[in-house]
Amino acid sequence: MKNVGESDQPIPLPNVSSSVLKKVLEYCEHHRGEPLPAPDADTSQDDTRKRTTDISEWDQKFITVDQEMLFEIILAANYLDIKSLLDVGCKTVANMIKGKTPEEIRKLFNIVNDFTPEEEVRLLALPHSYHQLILSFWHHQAQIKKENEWAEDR
Amino acid sequence: MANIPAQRFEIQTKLDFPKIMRRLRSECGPTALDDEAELATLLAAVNKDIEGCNGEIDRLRSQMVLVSEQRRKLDEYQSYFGFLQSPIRRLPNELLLRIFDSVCHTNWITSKELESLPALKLSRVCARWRNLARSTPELWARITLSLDAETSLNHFALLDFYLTLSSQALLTINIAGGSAENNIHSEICWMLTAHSIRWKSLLVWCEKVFEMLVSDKPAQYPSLEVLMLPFIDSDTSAHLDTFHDAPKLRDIRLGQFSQVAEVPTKFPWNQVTRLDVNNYPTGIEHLIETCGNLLELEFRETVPSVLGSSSVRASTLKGLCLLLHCPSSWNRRFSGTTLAEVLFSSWTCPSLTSLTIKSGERDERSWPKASFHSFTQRSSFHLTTLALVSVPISDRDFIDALAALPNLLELTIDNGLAEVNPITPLLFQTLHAVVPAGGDIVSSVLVPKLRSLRVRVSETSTQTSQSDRIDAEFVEMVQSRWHSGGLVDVQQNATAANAIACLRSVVLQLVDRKLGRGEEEIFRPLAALERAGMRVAVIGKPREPRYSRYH
Repeated sequence: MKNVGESDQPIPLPNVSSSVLKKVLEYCEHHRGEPLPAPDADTSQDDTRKRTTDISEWDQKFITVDQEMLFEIILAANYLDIKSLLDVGCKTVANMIKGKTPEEIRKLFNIVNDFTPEEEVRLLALPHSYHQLILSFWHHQAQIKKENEWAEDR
Repeated sequence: MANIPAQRFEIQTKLDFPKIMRRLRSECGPTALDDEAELATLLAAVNKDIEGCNGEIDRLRSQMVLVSEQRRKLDEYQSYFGFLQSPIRRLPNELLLRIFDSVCHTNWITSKELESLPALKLSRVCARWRNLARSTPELWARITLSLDAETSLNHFALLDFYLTLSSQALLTINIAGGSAENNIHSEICWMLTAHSIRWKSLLVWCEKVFEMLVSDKPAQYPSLEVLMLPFIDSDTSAHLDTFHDAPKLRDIRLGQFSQVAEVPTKFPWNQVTRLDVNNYPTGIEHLIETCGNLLELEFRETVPSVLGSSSVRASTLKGLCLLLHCPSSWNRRFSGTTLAEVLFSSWTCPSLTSLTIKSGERDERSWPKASFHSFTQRSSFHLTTLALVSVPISDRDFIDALAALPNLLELTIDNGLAEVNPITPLLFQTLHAVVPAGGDIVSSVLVPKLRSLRVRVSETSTQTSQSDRIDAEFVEMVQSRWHSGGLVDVQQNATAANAIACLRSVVLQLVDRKLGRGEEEIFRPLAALERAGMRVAVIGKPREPRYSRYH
């Protein structure tokens, strides 16, 4: 919103409904005064210490809404560039996915198993042939054995 | 749906039961056989009708099967429409990937459960998720292996699968176990070593596994940033020299050193900005001197601490975290020196801005008041963040410590398991923005720049009786620090340096109390402050979990 500057003119938010905007404002009011996340917060995702799905108690209560509202909040937070709210929303969905089987995930989010029969077969296939891997395993083992024998002979 | 033409089926036999009953009851004896031909004709007609009925039943059954199948297809078709309208479909790929990233903390390759392999699991939900997961190498690059007697060729193949899909992404590897004799362990290590240029973070718990990992290849680790080797001790520290060519290495965690007489020379200590060690070794001053760019240091107390005489100057250190640990056996056997006391009595940290002290178990050792004072005076740092968790410190000692930290912006206090408890009415009276006249504890406002306060209260027996007073004093203190924001402490010279900052954020967590009507009444003034712009959260003991429909 920083590019809008000071103006009395209404700012159109075509992608955010009023009920969702109300929730977003509630979140912003609560977190007013908190420091903004560092600009590189997203790029440090590989840091395992920072990759946690912990959500503060207040945020948990705030985000306990139905799925329709949850995904609308995520989309609104993304559109309005509110990183901390986007983070809370995505972590909430991640927590819903954790510990569930693919079938349970489908049921939870009303997702259909749309794999073609060929894809279903390929789901179980590994990129390298298993046979080839086992061969390379035993080849390497034999090589180690040979080297050890050679070292012992010496 | 193809309509089957309805064939009208009707039985031809006229079913006259009264008539046949009459005949049954009257026509008996030899005369009854007179109408045998007529009966045969009637019976043939009935049999024909029965056959007709059977045919009709078969036809209807097959029609039912057909209609049921069509119904099943309609249900499936309907579910596809449901999926098209499903809220999660509205998320663009970038947001879905953000969620996937949180789900895929690590992939437990040696687990038997699909749930422990989140990247694989996500790729089996639907075609879109599969394509997205498979085209994101980072999700496949976080790998955990537990090497034990049950590690099999299947795990070897699965690791290969993950490494292939991780493409060129940098790897986060965590290897537990590995002491058992198993050929597959060495093969797994060999496979991981082949990707050593992609190692970004490596955690290895067992020395034997570590040796297998680093023995084969020329030691170059161009991407390695984090190295965690908790098995490394004084005797095995030479292993660290393996990483002499790791230009990005910044963060290391080591095990239990009893002595750091000579730190490995080839290891790039000067690059290290974060160090995590398991206890306070003698000769640590050499290590600190060698780590010329150290910003964060974490000590875990794993053996009883002993006061040393050598002084340590950590000029660059900004963050210090002490994890105190004192099992009851130590309390009985040792004099009670804490790691904190050892450190406060000999260290100087002029750049320190953040100090965290956590005590893991019920610790009976007293707070090193004098050492802390000399530490603050010697260091003359501008500490802005302080967190004490389960530390046995009395309210007066805590107030005394705060008086030495005038630049504090963020304060966290959690009485946790501590026997001696700092969270008392006196603490909050003393934190008030207006110093009570004639008060003997402090002469000026304590921590005048404080902007964020987080208090977590676990109730001890003394606290239960005082809880109303603690609540009331807390509320008054918070109100005073909000309303006095921007004012100048009139009891000192009116300079900008001693202006009282406005407290902006307050979190009070009452671990053992549910928030009832009484508490609501007490904390009502804080709700008014929240409306005025302060961030306030008062959290009570959680009620029975309520499950929303998606959990």
